[in-house]
Order: sequence, then C-alpha cells, then structure tokens
Amino acid sequence: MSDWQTYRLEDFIPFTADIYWRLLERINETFWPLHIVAVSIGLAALLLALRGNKRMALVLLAPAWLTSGILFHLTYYAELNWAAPWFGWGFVAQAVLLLTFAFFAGSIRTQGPSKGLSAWIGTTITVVSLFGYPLIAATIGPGLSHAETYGLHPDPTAIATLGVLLIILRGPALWLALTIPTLWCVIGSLTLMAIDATGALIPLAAATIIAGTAIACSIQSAAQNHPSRSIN
Amino acid sequence: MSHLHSRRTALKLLVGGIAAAWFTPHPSFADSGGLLRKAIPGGGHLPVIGLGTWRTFNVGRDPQLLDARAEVVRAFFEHGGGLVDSSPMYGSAPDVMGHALDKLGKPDSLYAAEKVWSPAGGSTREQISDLSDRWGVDRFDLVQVHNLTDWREHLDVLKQMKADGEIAHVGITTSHGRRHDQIERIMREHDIDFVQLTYNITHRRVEDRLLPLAQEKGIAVIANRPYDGGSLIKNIQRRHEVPEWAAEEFDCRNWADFLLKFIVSHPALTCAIPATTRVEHVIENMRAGHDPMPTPATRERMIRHVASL
Repeated sequence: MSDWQTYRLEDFIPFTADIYWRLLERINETFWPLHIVAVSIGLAALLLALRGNKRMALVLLAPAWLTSGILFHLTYYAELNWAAPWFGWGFVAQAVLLLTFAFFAGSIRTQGPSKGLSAWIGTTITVVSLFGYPLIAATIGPGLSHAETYGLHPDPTAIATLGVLLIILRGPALWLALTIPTLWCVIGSLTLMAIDATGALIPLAAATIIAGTAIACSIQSAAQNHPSRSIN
Repeated sequence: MSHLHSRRTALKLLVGGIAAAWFTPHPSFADSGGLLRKAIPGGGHLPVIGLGTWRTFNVGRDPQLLDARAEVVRAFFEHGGGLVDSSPMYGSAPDVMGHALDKLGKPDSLYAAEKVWSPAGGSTREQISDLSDRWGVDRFDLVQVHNLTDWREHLDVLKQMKADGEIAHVGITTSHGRRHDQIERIMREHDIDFVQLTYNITHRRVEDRLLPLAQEKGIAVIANRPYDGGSLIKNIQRRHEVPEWAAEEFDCRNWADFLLKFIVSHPALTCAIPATTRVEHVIENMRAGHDPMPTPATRERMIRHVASL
C-alpha cells in the first residue's frame, strides 16, 4: 500500500467540528448586523440579473467575494488552516474576475432574456442560498448562532454566485466565472464531510446542479445554433 | 467483588480529590494517583496515558476555546498526566499549550514532547527555539522528527542538542502504518530514545517487528491514534456495549478503558496519546491507565471480540 492510500479526508483538516462551529460563531458575533446588508446586496444582484442588468449584477457579486475572502479566509480561517490564505486570495481573484467581466460586459457572451431552465434553477439556487442556507445551522446544524450567511461565509457566497452566474453568462465566460465558486463548493463539502457535519454535501450538490444545467444549456444552444448576444 | 472494589476506589478518589482541591495551593496537580508508569531511556518513568493535540488544540486565537483547552490540560495533570505531544504541523496547538501552561503553571510532571519537520535546511534549532517560546518552556523533554521529514539532518542536530543537555530525549515518528521499513532501519542504526507510531486494537502491524525491536533496543514507544482518529471509539460505542467479561477480567467500565488498556498493556508500549476537546473524556482516558490491566490471554480475547463486531 502506498503512503497516499493511507491518508483519509480528516487527515487534511487540522481541526475538529466544535472548533469550526465556534469560528463561524465568532464571525457572526463580530460582524452582526453586516449579514443583513450582505444578503440585501445579494438579493439586489439576483433581481438585477433577472431584469437583464448584467453589468450591475456582476458588480454587486464582487463585494461578497472580497469580504468572505478577506474576513473569513485571511483573517479567521487562517488561524486554523494553513491553506486558508490560498483560499482567501482565490476569493479575491474571483472578485477581480467578476469586476473585469462587468467592465468588459459589452464584449463577452451573456445570456439573453432571463427565462427558461437556467433562470429558474439559477433563481432557486440563489434564493435558497441567500435565505435558506442560514437556516441549516438553526434546524439541522449546531444552532442559529453558527449560521452561515452570504457575503460573510464562503459556502453560501459561492452557491448564490453560481446561481446568478447561471442566469447571466454563457459560453467560455460562464465556465471561467464558475471555476472558483465550483472549486470552493467541492472544498467546502469535503471540509464539512471531514468534520462529520450535517448537510456536508449541500455545496457539492448545488455546484453539481449548476454545472449540469450549464452543460445542458450549452448543448441546447449548440443544437439550436442560437446566436449569442451582447450587452448594449 | 470487583464492583465493590471499584466503588470503594471511586469513593476514595472522590474524597481524595475534594480534599486535594481544598487543601492544596493553586496551581495544584495530583501525583499520578495510581496511574501506571513505565520506564524511559536514561532513567525516569512516564505515566502510560499522555495527551495528544492533533486537531483538538488547533483553536487559533479564540479566547473561549483557549480557556476550554486549558481546562483539558488542567484535568490531565490533576489526574496524574505527564506527556503532552504536539507539533509545528498542528496549527496553533503549541500556542494553546503555552496559554494553558501560562494560566495553570507548569506542573512538575509535565513531559513536553515536540517535533521538528520539513524543510530542515539548517532550521532544526530555530524550529525548537520557536516552539519553546510558543510553549513558554525552557527546554523540551523530547523532540521527535515528524514523519521522518529530513530525518538525517534533523537527527544529527537533535543528537548534538541532547549531548549538550539542551533536550532530554530524541525520537522519530510515523503514523497510519507508513514507512515502517525506514523506521526499523533507523531504530537499528541510530541511537534514539523514542519512536512514535500508530498502534491500536485495529492497527497492530507494529506488533510484528517494530515493537519487539523497540523492546530489544530499549526504545520507548508512544502510540498515536489510539482511537484511530476518533472514528474507532465513536463507531464502536455507538453500536456496542462493552462486553461483561471485560469488566470481570480487568475492571473495564467503558470503551475508553477497553481500547486504551489494550494499547498500554503491551509490554513494549510506554505511553498512548489520545487527543480530546473535553474534560470528561480526559478523565475517562486517565482512568484507563490504572490497574488492573488485561493479561496476554485477555488481550487475545479482546482482539477476537473487536474483530467479531
């Protein structure tokens, strides 16, 4: 048996569940009521996406990646996990990417009218992430004080972003923008699995649904040879 | 009879504990109070139950959890504990030990065990100096090469530091059954005092060569992952009761007793290092280090029983 085969998931997570829950709680204690502001901005991004204002939707997604990257990863999570600074800079990079897409919105391929399968799935995933995700901790998790919220904690931030991106982007831009949030959903689920958390598979499931829908839309688009549209 | 005996012992311990807490000035740490001890190279003895810090002591700067872990350390020493094992790979664990020792005082029984790891690059002394600052101790009793990373360079420096009296003992570590051939070669060819390896009732590969070799060479053995990272005891106590015969044969009260007594009753084993976040679990672990221990025949029965579950 090679050395690598002897490793288990929990060997890569250097803390226990209670330590992670307490980290979430500390962030909530310190930054409340910033949560309300963050969720409001997330909701605004969703509404703008549905109304076709893609540039502003992309702009409004970026602050959540900056705050969860800088506050969660670089400031708090870095106390527990040596990899957290890497995650933090990844989140900052995603914020820069979203702002770059917003700046060049006129020349990148985006979704046409926000209707159809992708809009329904994107909206559902985003709404559940903004308003349902904090309830996981309150109902099946360790308690409301440990709730994870869009804009402060990485899992709901990544999931809601995936939903909005599915509504507004298409083609290579969509896949590029989905990369970091999807990777984080995988890492987030693996982390939660390693500490035996309830609902550990939720980020992974959300990312899988988004990726599946994006693939289905790409196939449909190719089949219909649907012309791409640009933001005016 | 054994129940009567254990009830009387428990009563004595309770009365003794209250009296000790009442009359002894702070910081107070009881003596080993019946906890078994085993000899280590160069003289001296170690209590058979130590304290691991992997995952459990990496709490960052959270004041609430820092104090909670200090209570774990307090309970460990109050129940006769000695060896605390940490590593620079365990995140903030060395700082958390520093916080606990600063808060509680340094008990005489403390046997501080640390590790050095990769990259060596001439940093062995620097790593140890940094860790002793984080713990707030003048010197470590044991410094081990973590998972054999850059072990040649580290070991040379550690041997020199031991010769100069800067550390008391030198060791090497592995876990999860990795690199046993190399561990065996080092045990045969180098003058080391300790080897740390994974040993529990479901991971017994070290019984074939490493444990007999340790006995032959007089090397002390620390067993890491006594509960297999927590999964062993969690799964077994969720589904099964401790067998009645275990209570009759070695006064086994719970699965912590069962699993830890199995480990420390091996003649080559010096100390097991369970890690925990909870005071009640520390107390449970420490009680497992008391007599009676299972006989060789009972150990065989324990193996068969766990395999049958």
